[in-house]
Amino acid sequence: MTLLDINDLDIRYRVGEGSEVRAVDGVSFSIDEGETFGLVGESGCGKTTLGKGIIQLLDENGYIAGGEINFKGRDLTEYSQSEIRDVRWAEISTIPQASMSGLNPVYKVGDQIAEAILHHEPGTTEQEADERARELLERVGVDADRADDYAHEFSGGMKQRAMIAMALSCSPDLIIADEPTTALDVIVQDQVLDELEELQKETGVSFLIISHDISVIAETCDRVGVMYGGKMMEVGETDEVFETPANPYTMGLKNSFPNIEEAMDTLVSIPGTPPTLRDPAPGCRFRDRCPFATSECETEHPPTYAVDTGGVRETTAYGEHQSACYHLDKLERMRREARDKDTWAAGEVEP
Amino acid sequence: MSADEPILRVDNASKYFGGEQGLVDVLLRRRPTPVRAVDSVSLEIEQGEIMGIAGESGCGKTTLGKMLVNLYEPTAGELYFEGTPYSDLRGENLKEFRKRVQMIFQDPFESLNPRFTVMDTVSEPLRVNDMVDTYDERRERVIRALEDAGLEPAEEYLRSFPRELSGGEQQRVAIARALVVNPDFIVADEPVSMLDVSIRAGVLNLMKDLRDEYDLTYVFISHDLSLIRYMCDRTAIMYLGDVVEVSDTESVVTDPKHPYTQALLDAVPTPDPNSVRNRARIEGQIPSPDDPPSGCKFHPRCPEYIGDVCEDVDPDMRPTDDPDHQVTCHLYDKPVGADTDADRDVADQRADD
Ligand SMILES: Nc1ncnc2c1ncn2[C@@H]1O[C@H](COP(=O)(O)OP(=O)(O)OP(=O)(O)O)[C@@H](O)[C@H]1O
Ligand SMILES: Nc1ncnc2c1ncn2[C@@H]1O[C@H](COP(=O)(O)OP(=O)(O)O)[C@@H](O)[C@H]1O
Ligand code: SF4
Ligand code: SF4
Ligand SMILES: [Mg+2]
Ligand SMILES: [Mg+2]
Repeated sequence: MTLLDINDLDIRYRVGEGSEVRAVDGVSFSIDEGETFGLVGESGCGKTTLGKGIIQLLDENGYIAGGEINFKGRDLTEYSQSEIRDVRWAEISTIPQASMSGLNPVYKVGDQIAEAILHHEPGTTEQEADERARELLERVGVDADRADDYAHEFSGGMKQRAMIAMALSCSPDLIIADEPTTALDVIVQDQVLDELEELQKETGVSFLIISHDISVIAETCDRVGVMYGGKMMEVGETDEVFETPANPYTMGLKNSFPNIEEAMDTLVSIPGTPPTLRDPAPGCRFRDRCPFATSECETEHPPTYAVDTGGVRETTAYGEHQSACYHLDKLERMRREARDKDTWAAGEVEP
Repeated sequence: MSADEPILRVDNASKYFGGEQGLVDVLLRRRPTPVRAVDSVSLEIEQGEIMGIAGESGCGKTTLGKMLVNLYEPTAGELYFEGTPYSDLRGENLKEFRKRVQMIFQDPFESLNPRFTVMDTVSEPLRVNDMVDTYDERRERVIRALEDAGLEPAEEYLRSFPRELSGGEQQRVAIARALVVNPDFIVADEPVSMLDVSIRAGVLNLMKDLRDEYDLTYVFISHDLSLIRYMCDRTAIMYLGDVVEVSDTESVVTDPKHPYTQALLDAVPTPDPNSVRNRARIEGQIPSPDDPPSGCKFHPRCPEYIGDVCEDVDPDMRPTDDPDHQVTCHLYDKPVGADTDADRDVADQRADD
C-alpha cells in the first residue's frame, strides 16, 4: 500500500529582487508502507528542503509552489499549520540534519522524550510517559538509566540514538531521517544504521533516508531517488539504480565514489560544479557537466521516462525504474562510455 | 644520512596537551590529567610514498600530522627528517625544512583567509620564506603552482577571493599554496572531506599525479578508509593516540590483523547494494584520551580479548606472520619459550633512553 505519494512537487525560497531558489522542482516519487526509501544527491541539491517541505517545516522564506504530497490519501499541501502539527510526530516524525543539536543540552534526555509523548498523547500520565521513554531508549541501545542524564553528557552516537527514540515516541508511520549518520564516526554510524534496520523490521515503520553518501543509501534502502539541482534524475530499486544506472548523473556519481571492497585504478570526477538553483536557466540541469548532452538537452529539463521503454513512455509510477534523460534510447552505449574516464574529461562527446 | 634512512622517521614521539597546572588547578589542588593525543608513536615514511593515517575522530591524526611538519613539538620522543632530529633544526636548517615540508589543512574554508586574494594566499609562503625578490618572479611561481593544482587559466584566478570560488577550487588553492615552495614532503589532512563527492576524485587524482611528476612524499590523513585504499601505498591505523597497525595498504585492508582494524573495516559501508558485510562486532564508545584504559587501550571493547595480559601489558609494535605487517596486539605474542632477543633489544634500548 502506498503511504506517501509525492507528485510534481515544487518548493522555492524567495531571495529578494524577485529571485527564487528552486530547491525542489517538479519532483515525484512514492513510498510504500514498510519501505525504506533513500534520497541521495550532493550538497545543495534540495534533499533537506524536500524532507522539511513534507511536514511544512520550511524556513520563513520557503514555500510550496505547487504539486501534491499525498499521505495516506490526504494532500498535506492543503493542511494549515495547525492541522499539520497533528501529523508531525504522531504520523510523520523527523530526525533533522545535525540533529545532535536537536536535543536540549540542559534537560534530561528521558524528560525530553516523555514530553514529546505527553504532548501528542494527552491521555498519558507522566509516569507512563517516563516509562515509555526508558523503553524507547533501551530499544535503540541506550541503557535506560541514562534517561536521567543531560543531553550534553551523551556522545554523538548516543544523541543520535536518543533522537531516533524520540522520533519513535508516538509510533509514526513514516520517519524522515536527514543525514542520520553524517556527523558520526564509521563504527558508530554502523551501530546506528543497524539500529534503524532493526526498528524497521520490528515496527514496520517506513523510512525516508536522506544522505549524500551512496554507500549508506545502498546498504539501507529498498528503493532510491537520485536528486540533482532540485530535480529527481532517477528512481528505482536500489540494486537497479546502482548496478544498471539509467541516468548520466548517477553514472558519474558512481564513478567518483571509492569502494572499500575494490582496488580501484582510477576514480573519475564529474567535470565542473553543481549548478546554482537561483533562477535556473532552461534545459537539463545536468547538461553543463554531462558528456552526453546534445542541443535537445538545452530546450527544457527532460521529463521522467520509463527506462525499459528506452525513453518512449513518460512515467512516475511506483515500482518502475525511471530516469529524466532525453537519450535513454542510447542507454547501453552511455553506460559503456561512462565507465571510460576519457568520457568525463571536460569536452563533449556526441551520443 | 645513511642510505636506508627514510625521508621521515618518528621515534617514540608523544604529544600531550594540557598537562601544565594552571593557577586554578593549584588553588584547587587539582592535578590536571593531560590529553594523550599522540602516545609513543613510531613510524617510518619512505621517499616517494603516500602514507595513509586512518582512524576515528579524536584518535590523534591531526596532532600527529602537525608534529610531522614541526608545528607541534613532541612532549617526548623525537622526529627525524632525512636523519636530522627536529630538535636540531635551527637557522638555515630550519628555513630549509620549512620550504621542503608543507601541510594542507583539514578545512579549506578555514585555512584560506577570506580577505586574501588567491595571489596573496599562494604567494605568502614565498614571502615568509624570503624566496623570491621581484613581483614578476613571484607572480610567475604562483601561476605555475596554480596550473599544477589544475586551476587554469591561472591568471584569471589571481584576483579572486575565496568566497568567489567553489569548494573544489578552494581546495586546489590550498594545494597550490603548499606546492609553490617546491616541497618534497606534504602532509594532507582530510584534504577532500569538505568537498562534494563528484569533485573529490579530481582533487585526489591531482595529488597522485603531482606525486608522480615531482616525486613528492605524502602523508594522507583521512577517517575514510575507502579513500585511504584508493590513495595510499602504506597505511597506519590509529586508536586513542597509538598507531596499532601498519603495513602496505592492500594488506591492511584485505587482511587486517589488529582486532580494532578488523572492526573499523567491517563498519565501512559499500556502494554495492549486493555486498554482504559483517557488522562490526564492537560495542561502546571510544574512551576519553585523558584517561585511557590500562594495558592495551582497546581491551574494554575488544572482541578477541585474551585475558589479563591485555589489561596489564601495553603491547609493543610487533611483526605478524608477515614481517612488514606490524601490530600492537597480544594475539601476536611469540609463544612462550620462543626467542625473545628482539624484545630484550627493545627493552635495552628503552633503558638507554
Ligand atoms: N533559507 C534559504 N534561503 C535561500 N536558499 C536556501 C535556503 N535554504 C536552502 N536554500 C538553497 O536551497 C537549495 C537546497 O538546499 P538544501 O538544504 O535542501 O540542500 P541539501 O541537498 O540538503 O544540502 P546539504 O546536504 O548541504 O544539506 C540550495 O541551493 C540552498 O542553497
Ligand atoms: N590544542 C589542543 N589542546 C587540547 N587538546 C587537544 C588539542 N588539539 C587536539 N586535542 C585533543 O587531542 C585529541 C586528538 O585530536 P586530533 O589530533 O585533532 O584528532 P583527529 O584529527 O583524529 O580528529 C583529541 O582528544 C583532541 O580533543
Ligand atoms: S538529458 Fe541530456 S544533459 Fe541531461 S542527463 Fe540526459 S544526456 Fe545529459
Ligand atoms: S592486545 Fe588483547 S585486547 Fe588488545 S587488541 Fe589484542 S587481543 Fe584485543
Ligand atoms: Mg541537507
Ligand atoms: Mg582532524
